[in-house]
Amino acid sequence: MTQAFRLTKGGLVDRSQTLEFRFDSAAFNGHGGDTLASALLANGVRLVGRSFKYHRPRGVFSAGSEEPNALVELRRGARQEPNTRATMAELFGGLDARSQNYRGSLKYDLLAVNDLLSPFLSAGFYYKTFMWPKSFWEKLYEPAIRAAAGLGRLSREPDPDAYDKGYLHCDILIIGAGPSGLSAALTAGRAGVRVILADEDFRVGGRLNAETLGVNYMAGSDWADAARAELAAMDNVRILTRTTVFGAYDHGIYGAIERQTDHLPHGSGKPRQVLWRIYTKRAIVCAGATERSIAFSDNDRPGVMLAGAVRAYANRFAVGTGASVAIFTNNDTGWRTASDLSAKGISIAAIIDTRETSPLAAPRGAAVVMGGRVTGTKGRHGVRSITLASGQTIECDCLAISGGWSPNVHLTCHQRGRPQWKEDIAAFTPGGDLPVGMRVAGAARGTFSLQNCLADGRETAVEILEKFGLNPPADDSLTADEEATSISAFWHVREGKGRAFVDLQNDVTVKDIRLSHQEGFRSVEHLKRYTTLGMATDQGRTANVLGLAILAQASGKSIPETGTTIFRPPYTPVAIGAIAGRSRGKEFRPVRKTPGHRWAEENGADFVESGLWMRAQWFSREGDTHWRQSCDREVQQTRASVGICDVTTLGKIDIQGRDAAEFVNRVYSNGFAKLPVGKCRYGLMLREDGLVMDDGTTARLGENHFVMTTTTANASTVFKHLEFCRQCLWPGLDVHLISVTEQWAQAAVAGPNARKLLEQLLDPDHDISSDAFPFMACGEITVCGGVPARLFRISFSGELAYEIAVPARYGNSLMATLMKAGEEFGATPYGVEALNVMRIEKGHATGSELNGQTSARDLGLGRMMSEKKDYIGRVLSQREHLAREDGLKLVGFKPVDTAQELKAGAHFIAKGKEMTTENDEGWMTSVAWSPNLQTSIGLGFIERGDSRIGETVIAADPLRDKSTEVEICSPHFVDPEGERLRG
Amino acid sequence: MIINHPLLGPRDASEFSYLGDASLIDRPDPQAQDAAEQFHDYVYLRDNPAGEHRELWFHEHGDRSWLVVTRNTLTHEITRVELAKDVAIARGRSR
Amino acid sequence: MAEFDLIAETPLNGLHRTFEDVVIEEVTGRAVVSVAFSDRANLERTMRKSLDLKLPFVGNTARVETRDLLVLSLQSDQIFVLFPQTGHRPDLEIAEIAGDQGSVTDQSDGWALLRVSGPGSRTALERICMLDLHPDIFTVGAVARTVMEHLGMIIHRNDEHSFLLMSARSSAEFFAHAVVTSAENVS
Repeated sequence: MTQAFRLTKGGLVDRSQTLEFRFDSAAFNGHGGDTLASALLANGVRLVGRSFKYHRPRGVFSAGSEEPNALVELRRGARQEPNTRATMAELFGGLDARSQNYRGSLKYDLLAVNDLLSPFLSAGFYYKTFMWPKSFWEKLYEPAIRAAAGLGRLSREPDPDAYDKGYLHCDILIIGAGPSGLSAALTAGRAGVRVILADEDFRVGGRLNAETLGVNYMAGSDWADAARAELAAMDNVRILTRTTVFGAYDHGIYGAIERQTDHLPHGSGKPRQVLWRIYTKRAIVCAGATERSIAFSDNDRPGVMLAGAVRAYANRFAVGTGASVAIFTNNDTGWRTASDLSAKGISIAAIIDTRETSPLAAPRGAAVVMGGRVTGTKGRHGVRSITLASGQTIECDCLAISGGWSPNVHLTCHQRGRPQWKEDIAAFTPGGDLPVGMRVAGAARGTFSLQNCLADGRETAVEILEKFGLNPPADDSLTADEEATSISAFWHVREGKGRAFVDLQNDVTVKDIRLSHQEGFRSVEHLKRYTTLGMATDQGRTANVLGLAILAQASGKSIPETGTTIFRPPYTPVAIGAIAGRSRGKEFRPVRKTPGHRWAEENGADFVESGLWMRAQWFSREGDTHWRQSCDREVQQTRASVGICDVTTLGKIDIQGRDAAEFVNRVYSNGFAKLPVGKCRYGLMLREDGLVMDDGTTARLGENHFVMTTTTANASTVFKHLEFCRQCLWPGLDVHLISVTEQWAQAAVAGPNARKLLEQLLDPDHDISSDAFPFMACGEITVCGGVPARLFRISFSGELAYEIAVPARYGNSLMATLMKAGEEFGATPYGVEALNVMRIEKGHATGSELNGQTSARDLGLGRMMSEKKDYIGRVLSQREHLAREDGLKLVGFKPVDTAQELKAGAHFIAKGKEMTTENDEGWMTSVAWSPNLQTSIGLGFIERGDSRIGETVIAADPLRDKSTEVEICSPHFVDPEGERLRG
Repeated sequence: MIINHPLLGPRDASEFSYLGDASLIDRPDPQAQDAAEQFHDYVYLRDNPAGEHRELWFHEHGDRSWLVVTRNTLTHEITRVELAKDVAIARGRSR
Repeated sequence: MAEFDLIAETPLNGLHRTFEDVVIEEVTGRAVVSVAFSDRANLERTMRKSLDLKLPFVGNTARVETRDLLVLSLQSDQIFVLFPQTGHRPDLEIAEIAGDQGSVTDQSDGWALLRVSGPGSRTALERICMLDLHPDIFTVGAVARTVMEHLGMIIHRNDEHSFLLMSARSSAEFFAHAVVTSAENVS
């Protein structure tokens, strides 16, 4: 298809490169260097979408990231992405784009009926209309509204693209590579400081590419190219194009999104976008300014565009946005559209300037109307004519509007900075309270002529260099063509019957703003929320100031008195995928595996996540149909002969120093000072509030050397706590801590044959007979011919048991070797399920009992609170409530009917009482099927439990609708005397 | 946020974990007559200033030092960073 | 008596990946021993005598070429010593050097060591490392503990284009995958 609106020469497109693309059902051609918007306009496509609320026909309105209208769906299948701004989508061969928000066809949208209903769809319509009856909301109103609203459609499939993150550092971040940004970057770069220059466009230059103004006697775009080349050659400068700096965060940190492959036909297999966190010493915001519209009747038809965008399409993209263009302006820059277009042979129908001043130079043939106003437009799918206040009608197929320029102050507001109104340019400029290290230069701070922007960029860079104590480069000031920029504020044409749009993306009109004011929503923040002005994805970039001005007029206040809403990150939309980065699926969070993981995998283990760790929960054998079979077998085999369990995940902390014993003694509630070398002891650790924090076994390997174990879940919390005690509470103690969790692979060997099994691995001279190595002994030994190992005679299962630790490199081999040595005894590996069954059978507490709300007394461990010393948590553990004798106690529970299965989480209610909170006496913490007792058993807390053994109560579980009669019993279900573990 | 570590220089806040008010350094004397009262206040009572706040941060993914960071809760401006150990010693804590 | 052998495995099974301008390889055979101390001056005196070594300050390293030994200063009161592992008890070798001035702990099995080298190494690490690795800032010889992909890490620059990364053994696979992905993403 021909590009009928492509100008025959000029522009920054690569005419040698023809790119085919699709829009809706038709195929078109464009050139390299086009955006989707410029390519559509080159092909005369003016209707590109339907508006959000009224489904009005809309066309391309701008030439940049501020675009409110031309939102399209890109790509197909899982890669389909809605609401992409056509003005930001770089054209590539094969691009597949579709218009949005219509039913039927774009041209004949069935929902355009909303436009006829518009008298009923004013601000607050939903709030007022869908209130009654209440029950209709979920079933009727919401689904209907959702179906009709929402612009583009999601693919509803997982995003197949990859995203990445990264971290960058610089002395000066320059945001925007327009004239001020390039000028600042050249000065800073030549001085040798580290510069990052970021721009959302794929081409540096900003407005230099869109205007015909020259710099240093070169065409502006040529100068920008030369500047880019010079900067690119500097080691200390990094240029990031296609990169939007979207947020200014604390302490000079900026967020930026780089679109790395969005402009490529086929993703290259590389991440599509990279989210950069940029650490800066200083930042210069050179984000330029955004042109705004003027409100008048039917100012939203395709063909009505911003005047600066019309120039950009002509100058940069060599596209005529119409054959006959009219201009409606309140400032000098609108006139440049006339002269630039005319120079390219485009006919200028009229220039209507709201000011009563003498006209600027106008192209021949153009009607010039000073003090004029456009009161309406005509044309169903695109403007065909405009009407003036004088009643005159002017034929044109494009109306270029300039209501003035608003500096892009967004980043300056991200830390609650308030912009200030400047009357002479009729715009908000950055206030005084900028984020730390931020400066603003050029149009972003209201400096509007090219010459001044270039100078401002340079001077800002020079000031920063001087702050750094550096010499700025010798005078490198630039000269530029003069331009006129004077403005006289004009917001809204009162004449005309149609709707005058303010916010095109959210379909907010002048009438809505007035209505909001009438109904009492007078603060600008209320106005925003009631009308949704500025709340679309474009954050009202072309609309906000216009909306405020109209609110100010309605309330009879000045604009500064009316104030402005605040901007928050992100400056432009950022895909959630980019924020997630790589953290999805298997890469969602780190995985920790024990050294014996592979062995477990090879031996039928099913794994369970325990924090970041993967732990074997049971080992299936052929023929197992249910996990309980595996678990029961592991328990029974361990109690009958011997079982082996990987316990590497327990936290291990190496504690050394002259005061190590004193330190351990202070952090545990029970005594450790007198623990002999070669012994271990179970330790209970309290928080300072007197409740239990953690427990574990601590071994004394030497006079000044302890190894503490923690629960798997609390390893890092305990380490942090110990460092707090060491550094903040007792800085004078000579004690050192280091984690050795990763250094040692540790396995529990439990069961009557545990000793016989282990003896086979020990090197000669190690005697682990009960006399030489009794219960709670520990020692450093060697195994399998000199491999250093640590042996602890401790038991969680209640059996004769040891834990053996070897350097982690041998961990995988240790599991295999223990199993091999245990072959003659029928040794079984066991997982955390069997471990759990056995500890419940023995009444040992774990995380379900040490839940941060229970005291030592609750756990039946009151005797572990020493009365001979101070320790963390002692004072508050003596509080009345925690010290009371009739509090909760940890006891065991058995179902009266042994066929019943107990459930953890059930609450205890006395028999015959109602199931109410007042009658709640405690709760079940852990349950298991005991293959030894052939019944379900449980542990739980119940008031005065220790004196109620034998009583029956109800374990009420209203959530699962189940009540079970249970008998209170000792928590020691198996071997209550502890004979086995001493065997 | 960036915390300017007194030994290591500026580091991203994500290397640190937060505990709370630096008054936690001042653990009361457990032998005091009113120890229960003092410990109650120590564990449960905190100022909640809108402005300058001295607080404890742990350089968990760094040198494992506890720091006392003086931060303005309104602006996040950090005006001072000290090693908590030095602060503790200066406040008379020892063994 | 002991008829059983224990077989040693490295955390990353000898990982070696080559990209256009980045090479990622597991470093094996290095013992890692931590030395914690209360009196810096005393330890320094001892180490100078035994090794002719000046104790580096936090964030720096020192080398003893004759013994192929590298000292990483990680905390104000703790250093790591890396050297060729020849026996089962590298901690005892260091205890001999440190005398009674340091608390010595064997860490050799707790860490996976990864070397990332080549002209693209800094660009690759930019994707996971939040530290400024500019050679003027993180100079040759510098060392830091930091966090990458949620994991605590040690990073040391041993040459302009070569970094040694140390990460916990249990999560080494996850970490190595992150480093490899970074290299892939920038190659």
